[in-house]
Amino acid sequence: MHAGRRSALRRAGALTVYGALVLAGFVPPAQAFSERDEAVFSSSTLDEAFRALSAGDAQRTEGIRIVAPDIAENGAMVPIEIAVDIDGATRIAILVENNPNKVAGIFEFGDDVLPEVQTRIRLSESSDVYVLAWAQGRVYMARREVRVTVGGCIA
Amino acid sequence: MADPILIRAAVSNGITEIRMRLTHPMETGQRTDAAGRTIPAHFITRMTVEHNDRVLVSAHMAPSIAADPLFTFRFRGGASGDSIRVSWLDNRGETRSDDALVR
Repeated sequence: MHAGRRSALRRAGALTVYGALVLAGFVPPAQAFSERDEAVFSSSTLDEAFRALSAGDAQRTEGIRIVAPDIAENGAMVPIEIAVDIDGATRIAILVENNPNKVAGIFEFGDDVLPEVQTRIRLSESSDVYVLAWAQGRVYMARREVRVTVGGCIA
Repeated sequence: MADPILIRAAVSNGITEIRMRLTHPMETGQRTDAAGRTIPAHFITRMTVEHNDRVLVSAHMAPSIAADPLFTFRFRGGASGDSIRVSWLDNRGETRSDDALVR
């Protein structure tokens, strides 16, 4: 088991001594996590999610760029790239209308961080994907439809 | 013990790009196994990315993020040798934190 762990560490590449101490349980992770807002994440409709995010009056904008495939073959892993070109944007949320979990993620950015995120989301079926961005007390919104090919791997 | 977070960070033309891969099932709680039993939800709820102990990104997430989450973020500044730390917490209270140096 020890050897297995060592090789896992080697694969990780750049683990510091401090990281190893955290790993061994001697040092707690420096960053304490704040609580997640469960009202946001338990929303069962898109409207509810928008309200929970205080984004009911979000303004449509061309300033949010969403890059995603028009048709995704594998809904389990859909690449998405978001870039916000609005002054003072510090927060982005990704919502998937037709998923049971409407809110996929919320990203808050510190100083000097570009208001962008690249990730992969899960789509249970074809859906509109909404991206919200907060900048200087206002909320902005953009939408992108992604269709998912059905029946790709039914065993 | 959760698998290590893979982190790559490199600075170029004054912008540091950080790419990370978190090994995690991100189980939705919607799936059933071969015997028809629900596979319990198991997913990352929080993640932070730090640069020299300053928080760059604080994220809240749900299982609509795909399994083995991948993220790329960029920030202005950063220098070769700076430290980057990525940490996560999941809905079972398990955590993982790993470090890398900016190339």
